[in-house]
Amino acid sequence: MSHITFDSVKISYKTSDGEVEAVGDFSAEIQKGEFIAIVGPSGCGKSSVLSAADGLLKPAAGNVYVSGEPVTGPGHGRAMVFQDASLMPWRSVESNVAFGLELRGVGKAERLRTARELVKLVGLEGRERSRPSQLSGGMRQRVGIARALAVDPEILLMDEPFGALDAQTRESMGMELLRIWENDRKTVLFVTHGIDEAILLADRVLVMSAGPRSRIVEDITIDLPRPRTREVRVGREFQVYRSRLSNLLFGEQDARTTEPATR
Amino acid sequence: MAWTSVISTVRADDQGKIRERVYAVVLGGGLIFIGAVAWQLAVMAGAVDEFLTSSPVLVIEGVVKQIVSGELLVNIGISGLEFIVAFAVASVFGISLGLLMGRLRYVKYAIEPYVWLLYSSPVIALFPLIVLIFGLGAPSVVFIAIMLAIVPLIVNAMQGVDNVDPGLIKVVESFGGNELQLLRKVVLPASFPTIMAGVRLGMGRAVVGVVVGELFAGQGGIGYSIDKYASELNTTQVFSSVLIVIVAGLVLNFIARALERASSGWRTDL
Repeated sequence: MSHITFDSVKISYKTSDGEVEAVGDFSAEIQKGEFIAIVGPSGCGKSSVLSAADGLLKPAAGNVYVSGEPVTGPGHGRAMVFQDASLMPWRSVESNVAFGLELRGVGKAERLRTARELVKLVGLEGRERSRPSQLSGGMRQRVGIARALAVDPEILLMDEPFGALDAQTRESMGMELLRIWENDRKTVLFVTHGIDEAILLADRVLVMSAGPRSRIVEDITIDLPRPRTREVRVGREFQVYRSRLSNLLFGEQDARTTEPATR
Repeated sequence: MAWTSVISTVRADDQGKIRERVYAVVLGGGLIFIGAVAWQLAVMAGAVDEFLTSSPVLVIEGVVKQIVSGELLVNIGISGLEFIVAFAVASVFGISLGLLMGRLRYVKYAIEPYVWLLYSSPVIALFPLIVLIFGLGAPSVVFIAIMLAIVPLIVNAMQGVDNVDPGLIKVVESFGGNELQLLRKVVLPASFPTIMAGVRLGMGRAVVGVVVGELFAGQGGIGYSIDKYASELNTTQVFSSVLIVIVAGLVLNFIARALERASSGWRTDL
């Protein structure tokens, strides 16, 4: 049985001009331990798909199943990493990392112990007592990742986690994420608009069409050896994936701009 | 090398802060001092009528007289009690209502118009009516102080909640936190500075409410004294009493700031 199943998920939003169907039909099967990247033009609803998987957002139609059970709300087996880290500025690093455990009623001593382990795992040892404002963007996102991992989820949902970082930090954070992921290979859903990032990290890349009524246009298996290093990027295979993905994404976007404006 | 430069910049920074502090005290206090000296000299030179303007020396003497006679202590007791009751009621109701309005938009729609109505209406003009209802004495005074103080408490609590980063709320939801946890661990700590600013504003308005209330309907207290001395044409004691109110307001503001600093620690522990 697959770990996550998206069964014809449809997501719509109420706006001032009525209901907009952002995601038309999103269906996918994700196996346990798979690292999945979801890419698509901005506004295609890829983040909404992630929210639906977390249970923060209820699909207008269709269902998300985790281990066969329909998702009805946020659940213990899943944890989210947000685009801007979303840390509590009044809490220290370790207290932020312990936040999820705190909400779930884990005792102070135990949650702090877990938090410190994770702070170490994400390479922030020595910064336990720092405030988020004293950290760089990359460090803040390490805290965000540690906070999600602290509750030991089976599924890690990542919503453009490195989107706000500069290119160099972004790449090293990607490598860092892979290093952490190699430890226990949780199932990961990673939303990004970076093609290179998607290929570098994922086992499979789900490519979404532009919204409204977006859907998956391509499901590409990235057959590159693991553990991956930066050197993967210079290989010929990487370039093949890269051009295929950019044709799918930018080709479509070009086609869209030549369409007459209908809205 | 890097460390020494850090330390020296910190020191330079501290020195800068101290210098700024000295400027603030010298310029801020100096102006008052110069004003007081000019006032005193004008009276001594006979340029202004002492009966109408009193003088700084007389005002200070008046304060001392009130202290010695025990009048000050009695007045502070009466006004202080009215203030505490009014401010406590306004804080509890104002902050709870503001938090509720910030979280539940239907409550906000229902109540917000009246808050702004209260804000822009001349509450003091309704005073004869209030006295009619509550009678002369402390209840009327407390009521008007509550009416004045509650507005910034409500508005700031509401805006504090409104301005909570939606991303942080999402974090709590994503981890499966309940509404109570959301309130305690995110909404309150995030809106704390805004709420405290409302507390300070409300405090000032409660002081005004108590004094003005006593002026019209009090049967004791500092405001009542001001009214009494004014009717006796005792300019000096009117000024002395006003000075006492100003000092009380400053002391309260100082206490509020100290409380704010002391209590910001809990935000990290919750």
